[in-house]
Amino acid sequence: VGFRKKIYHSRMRVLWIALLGLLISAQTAAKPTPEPETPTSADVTDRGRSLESIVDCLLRGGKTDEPRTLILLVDPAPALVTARFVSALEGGLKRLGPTDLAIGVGVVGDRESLRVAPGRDRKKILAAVVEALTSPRNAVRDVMSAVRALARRTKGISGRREIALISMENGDAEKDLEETCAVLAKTGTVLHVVGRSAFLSDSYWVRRESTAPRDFDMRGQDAAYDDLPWGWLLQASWATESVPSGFGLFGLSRLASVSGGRYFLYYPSNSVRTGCSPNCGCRLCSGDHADCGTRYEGHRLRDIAPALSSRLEARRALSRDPLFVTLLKVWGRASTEGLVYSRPPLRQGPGMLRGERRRLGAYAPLLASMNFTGISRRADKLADVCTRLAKELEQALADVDPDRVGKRTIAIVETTRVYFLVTRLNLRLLQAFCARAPGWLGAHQTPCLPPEIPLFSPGTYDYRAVRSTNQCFCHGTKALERLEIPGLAEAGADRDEAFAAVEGLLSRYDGTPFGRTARVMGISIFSFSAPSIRGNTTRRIPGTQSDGATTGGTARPSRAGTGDGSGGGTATGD
Amino acid sequence: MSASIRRVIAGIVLALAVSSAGAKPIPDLVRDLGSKQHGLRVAAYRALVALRNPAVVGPLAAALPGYDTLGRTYAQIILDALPHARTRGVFRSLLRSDDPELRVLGAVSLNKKGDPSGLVIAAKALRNTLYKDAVTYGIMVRLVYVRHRLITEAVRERLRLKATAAMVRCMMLHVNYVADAEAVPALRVLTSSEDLEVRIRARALIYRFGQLVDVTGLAAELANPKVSYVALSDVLTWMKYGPKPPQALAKALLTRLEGEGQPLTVSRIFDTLAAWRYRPAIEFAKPFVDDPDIRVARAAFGLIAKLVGRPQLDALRRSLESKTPTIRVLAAEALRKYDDQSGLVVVIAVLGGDDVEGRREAARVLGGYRMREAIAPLIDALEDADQTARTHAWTGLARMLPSLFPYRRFDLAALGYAANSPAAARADAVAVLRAWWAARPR
Repeated sequence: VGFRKKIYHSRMRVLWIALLGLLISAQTAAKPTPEPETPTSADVTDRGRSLESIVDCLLRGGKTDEPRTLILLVDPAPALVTARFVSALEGGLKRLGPTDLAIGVGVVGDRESLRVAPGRDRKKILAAVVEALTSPRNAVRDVMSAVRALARRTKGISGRREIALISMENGDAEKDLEETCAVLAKTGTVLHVVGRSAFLSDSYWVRRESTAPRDFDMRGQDAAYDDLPWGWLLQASWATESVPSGFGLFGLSRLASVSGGRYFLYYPSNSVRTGCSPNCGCRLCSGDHADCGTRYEGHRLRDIAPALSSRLEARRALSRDPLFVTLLKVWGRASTEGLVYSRPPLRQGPGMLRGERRRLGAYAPLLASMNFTGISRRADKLADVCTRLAKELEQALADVDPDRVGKRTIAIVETTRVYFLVTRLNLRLLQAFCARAPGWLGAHQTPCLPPEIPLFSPGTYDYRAVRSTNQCFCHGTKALERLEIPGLAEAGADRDEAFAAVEGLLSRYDGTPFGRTARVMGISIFSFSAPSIRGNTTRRIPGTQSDGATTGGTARPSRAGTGDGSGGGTATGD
Repeated sequence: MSASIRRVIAGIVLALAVSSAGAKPIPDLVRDLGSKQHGLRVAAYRALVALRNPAVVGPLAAALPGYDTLGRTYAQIILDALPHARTRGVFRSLLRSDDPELRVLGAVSLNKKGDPSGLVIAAKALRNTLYKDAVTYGIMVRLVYVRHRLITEAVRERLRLKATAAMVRCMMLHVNYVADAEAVPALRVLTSSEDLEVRIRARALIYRFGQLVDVTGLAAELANPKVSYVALSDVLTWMKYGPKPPQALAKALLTRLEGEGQPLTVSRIFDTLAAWRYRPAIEFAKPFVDDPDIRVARAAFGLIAKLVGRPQLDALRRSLESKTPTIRVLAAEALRKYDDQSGLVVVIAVLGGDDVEGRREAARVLGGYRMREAIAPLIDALEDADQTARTHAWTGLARMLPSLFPYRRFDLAALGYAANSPAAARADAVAVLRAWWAARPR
């Protein structure tokens, strides 16, 4: 009996403990502990400084009683020479005055991680940087390995150790990002970055996956993934390759974030491209529009700053975001229908979102023929798809609790919805074009008064397909009424809805990359294309290189003038 | 009818047309092209350019060795405009010429047509130090805008040797054109040249490549009134490609303004300061807004308009009521750039006014608007008493019509309008345009 009593008592004790545990856990569930706030790019980005001011910040550092060691890790690209970095550094060293700061120099791409060991000989430091920039070259270089090597090499130095990575180009070439984070954390090294701004949800390398350097994970977005659908049908200028995000590149921003450093955005003064419709020319100004390059507003950018958690954590967080999950579904369907060239970066997996390997889709075969009835019929079907998908996003926006969803996701979904409405309008304009096309090409064209001549010359050119250019919304939607565009008046409700959505986006997101995305969007102006009659006449001298060719290493392709919105190369002005 | 017969008939018709217009025959024009009389030479050049007749190839090729550098340049332009099939042989034969300048001429023209094989010869000629200065200069002048590694390397080598100031300038123009940063060590040597303009150009080029430069020295030279407009213009153009300039350079330009009397220089400095976004220049520019020279007034106002920004557009709107017509027009233009079309009526009013300078500016500015309300006044301005106003109006219309009517095509050349043609001929063209515009549905 005593034994049974004992068991009874011990069982009771277990029961009591279990009950107590349940009670505690229930209370814990009722009162959730606040999750640690995810750092965003806004927390690390330092915007609007001149190069001189950036150098001063780096050299002076924050308030600390510890002895400081700063290693300048220079990525020798021509952009750094153009930015007059050497001159800025020379001025900064002069202004610094007497100090205990030990400065070293490393060069990305060197076998030895340190070219000049940390010391106080300023002439030596300057000479090393000058030497590094004597013959700069645009090449894809492994900045992350260089950071890791330098962090390990300087581990033994006492006091506060900081690395200042000065790289205008290579933040998009990622290599073992998380390992680099771990090395920085383990060695207690702070990483500051001086670099360019990312393009909003940059699609450049995703689109050129086949030509991207194999040794690297080429990224370049401002966020963990390219989260804004890109490659829209009938849009000539791609916002994801022309609109600066106002934040640094994700990989380098994350490194700065985990190590407690800063990301100093630097805008090369002569690379900021102004002017609307960068790829088509604007019909509403003489290229002198003063409002194109409206500056970004820091407080508005803060709301839409991308999170800097690891990609794995980002996927987990996005899995819990119903709005983003809806966006992925809609993006996938738009891609299947051929409304966007891209496929979503993530797909629903068991439990959470997974990375998508196949990123490129195909446009709907819409313009590649002269069968106007067929084109018009397909355009009509696609316009209906646009309506359905836009409504779906609208509904998702209405259903969601704005406090539980990130503002960036809301901005992305709103922008995507506007893209659907503008694409629908463009498809209606295409239908209007197709309705008039037989008249323009027929033998019995309407006679026109001089100096006007028939729009097309079917006898001279062998037209094979329809092609389109854009007129952007940079001057607002009302200004478009000044242009004589067949079908615009007839588009009625579709036009009004699209224009109202564009105006809404312009006003809500003015001073942010999403506002500028609305400016880059445009309505289509159609024409016919005929095969080119010009051949390549360039000849090379045997045994010589063509001009501008680079030797050795992986040459970094120029992003200027690629004909799809990537104008301005590293133009990052905001 | 066979093609050859058709060509013969076309040739006869062309010859008749030329003779009926009172033009000289081709041999005379070719002879005049080598004349030392500037007027005669320019007239011959213009006539030959307008002719675009492959028949000039033979006579020009024969006369080319007898021409001086300028005559050869004119001849080259005329030949380059003709079909390559007709000129290729001439240029190839020039590559074998005894005259180095002619060899380079042939190489450059062939390169323009996509055949750089002659550039080896051109680079060799440039490297040759035995030629006289004038010959070397004649060679370099032709190679300034040739973008090829062989030429750039030759220029880099040549830059280290002693040369005349004009030759050095040509080489620097090339270095800037091809953005050859590797020329910087050679340029550094030139910064200690005795020639002020060589020095300032060298410093500016080094600066353009973002390399260390003595900013104080450059600033002192920028402020020096002895630096000619041409040198200053080169320097400011090159610096445009460089990094954002420090304030010391902007201040130096303002110092230069104080004693500057040349309108071209003043306007150039204002344009540069506006591009550099140097706000303290606004106060300096204000007194120049009323300058009698329109180039100065325009540049000063342009600087103010560019640097005030959207928050201060009201100040620009007040300028729409200025007493000076030109200022009213410039204010309207500045507002247009901010999508404010309220100045359109002001510009149209000035275009119909008595002030010639105002009318010229109004015609230019009106062409920048993309509004149908601007079309009728521009058509009227095609008959303005002032030729410059007419030219601006014509240019504006030619840009505006295709922009506003993307689904219409215009052949304005067929109208036969030219701002400098007789009034009767202009009136015919304007009547056609008016009829077209009147027939447009409103």
